[in-house]
Amino acid sequence: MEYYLQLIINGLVVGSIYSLVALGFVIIFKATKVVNFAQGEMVMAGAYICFALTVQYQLPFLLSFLITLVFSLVLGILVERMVLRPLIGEPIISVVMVTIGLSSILKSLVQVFWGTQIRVFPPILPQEPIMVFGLPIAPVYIAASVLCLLLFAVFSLFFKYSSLGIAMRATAFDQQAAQSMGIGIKNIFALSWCIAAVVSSIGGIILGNINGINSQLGHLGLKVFPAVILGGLDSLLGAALGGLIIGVLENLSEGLARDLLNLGGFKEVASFVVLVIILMVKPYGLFGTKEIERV
Amino acid sequence: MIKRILTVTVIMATLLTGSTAFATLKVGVLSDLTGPTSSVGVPYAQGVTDCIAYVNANGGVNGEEIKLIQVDYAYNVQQALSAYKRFKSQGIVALQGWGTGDTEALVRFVSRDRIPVFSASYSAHFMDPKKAPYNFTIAPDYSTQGRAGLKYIKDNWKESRAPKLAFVYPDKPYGLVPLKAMKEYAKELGFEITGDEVLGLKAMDATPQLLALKKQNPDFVWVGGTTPSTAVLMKDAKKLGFGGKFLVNIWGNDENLAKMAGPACEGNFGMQAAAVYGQDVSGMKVIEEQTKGQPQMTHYLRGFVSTLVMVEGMKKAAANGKVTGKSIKEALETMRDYDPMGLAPAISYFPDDHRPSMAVNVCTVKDGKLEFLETVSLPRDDKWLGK
Repeated sequence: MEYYLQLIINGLVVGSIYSLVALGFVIIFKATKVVNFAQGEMVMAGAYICFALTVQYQLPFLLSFLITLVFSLVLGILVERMVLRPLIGEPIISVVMVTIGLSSILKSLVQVFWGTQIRVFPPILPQEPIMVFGLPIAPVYIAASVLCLLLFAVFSLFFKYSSLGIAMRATAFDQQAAQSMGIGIKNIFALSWCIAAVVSSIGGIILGNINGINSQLGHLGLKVFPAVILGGLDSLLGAALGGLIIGVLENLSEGLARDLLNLGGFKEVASFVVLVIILMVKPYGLFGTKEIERV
Repeated sequence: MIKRILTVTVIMATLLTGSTAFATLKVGVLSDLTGPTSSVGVPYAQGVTDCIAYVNANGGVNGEEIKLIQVDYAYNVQQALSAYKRFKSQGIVALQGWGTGDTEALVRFVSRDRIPVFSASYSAHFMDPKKAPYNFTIAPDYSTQGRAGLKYIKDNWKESRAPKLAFVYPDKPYGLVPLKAMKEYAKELGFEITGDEVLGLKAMDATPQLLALKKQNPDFVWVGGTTPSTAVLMKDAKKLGFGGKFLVNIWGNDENLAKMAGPACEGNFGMQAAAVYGQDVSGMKVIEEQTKGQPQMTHYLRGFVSTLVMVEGMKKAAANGKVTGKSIKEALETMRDYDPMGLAPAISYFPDDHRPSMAVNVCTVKDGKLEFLETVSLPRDDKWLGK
């Protein structure tokens, strides 16, 4: 039993990082109906900025963290203004291709400035594990989970109670109606890219503290995609739960396959198996909006 | 008319002679500078280019300069094939390759075109000239490395019971290929094999694998991953209080491991094929001069040695006549106990056996630094060739 409890707890902490990255996907999709294939590279860019400030410029970690968030806001605005705004009204495939191009550009820029070597953050938190229900968990994982929970709470309140959050929801629901009510659609788009860049950066910084960073970090975007589809592309709650479910599922499938079938390696494919099943059974995900089209 | 023909002939002869004087030997270099293996591909490629600079500054190959034509193929096999076509049209006489996929894809082409390849993929079948006649490496194959690592830990095993051994590897050819050979040899040495676990190269968490390993309670775990996944494994092992030691394959055990895993990697073992920067060997002075004293990863030294051995083959070929791909291959196959300035164990190739040596460097991490422990030598047993 302790074995499975350990698997579940570790699945939850890793899943909380998936949730954070999934949140970035959802916020952009919710407001703009664009799936951002550069999400993983935005994670990477934030991680590298924080790394540079902390290690190369020797700034205190907290200050580096805050500056990185400001940088992410600027990145979000630049991406929206320079790359995506000119594409308003263009076919969705063009926008998707542009996000794929953006991922290559961000990756190339990181390689130009920092090369391809693995970079490691100095240990910010203690290395000794903390016992949770008698099970050892690394402090960085606990910090990651707490931060993720906090961010989800903040964004949930923001979308539910703030006028800007309500404007974003209105835009996501019906862009034309929102515009006719005086909501600045373009500013809403920019804001959604800013928020996505900020949460991605936080995810990148957490990952950097867990296992270092390199220019391949962008692959995380693909890894998180099943969590986004599972939760529903336009649901914040879906992103949170989707990430956690995928994290736990990966670990449990590995443990069960080992115990019942004496087979290893299920962890690597479990999330994609779920992705295929979800697309077949519930293509809009657990909490996604089901669109009804009249033909 | 005769005078005019004579003049043209003299001019042509002068031009041809002149062009021979400026001839260079062209070598293709396939590098991963931006792709998924670039964190180790970049230092390896730098080792290759620095070695060529060193050779050219020291007289080249019988006075002829070596010109590198480098392509960043980003670990993409199709790009490697395109680059190879370009290399061939430019008249390369040898190739410095890189990964398993591209080396495998090029085996047939380089054999047909008679272009010797030195790659950094150490799959056992590349060592068998019947299967890959123009393939060479400077490191023994993954299976030999694994066997040497097992021999090292068995030789240092003090208890009377059999040591328990488990395996952790990614579900990729790099991780899977040496398993059968290692398990057979482990049984021969008297290990008790407890089980296998699969750990992906991009793993963020190794808890499921380690909890399973804890049940098996191995004394040693062979790890066939790369540094990021190995670091995750070691950190989680420390966190969970796992008591076994790790024996890590060549691409999972380098200077980055200590940076990523911190104290969790101290005292574990890893296999390497070249010296560690700063190690007390005769060629280290050259390396320090080339790098202006800036420490480099062991992969850099491996790239340097790979090129040094290739150049030695070219020199032998030049001494025998003309430097061509075929003559380089034939020269290499007569190489016996060539010492690459102590930067790697002595190298020999035979017409029917391209294993460079049966000697493997075992390293550890001490006080955060990769440290050489011992060179383990195995017999050049025919039954292991290509397996």
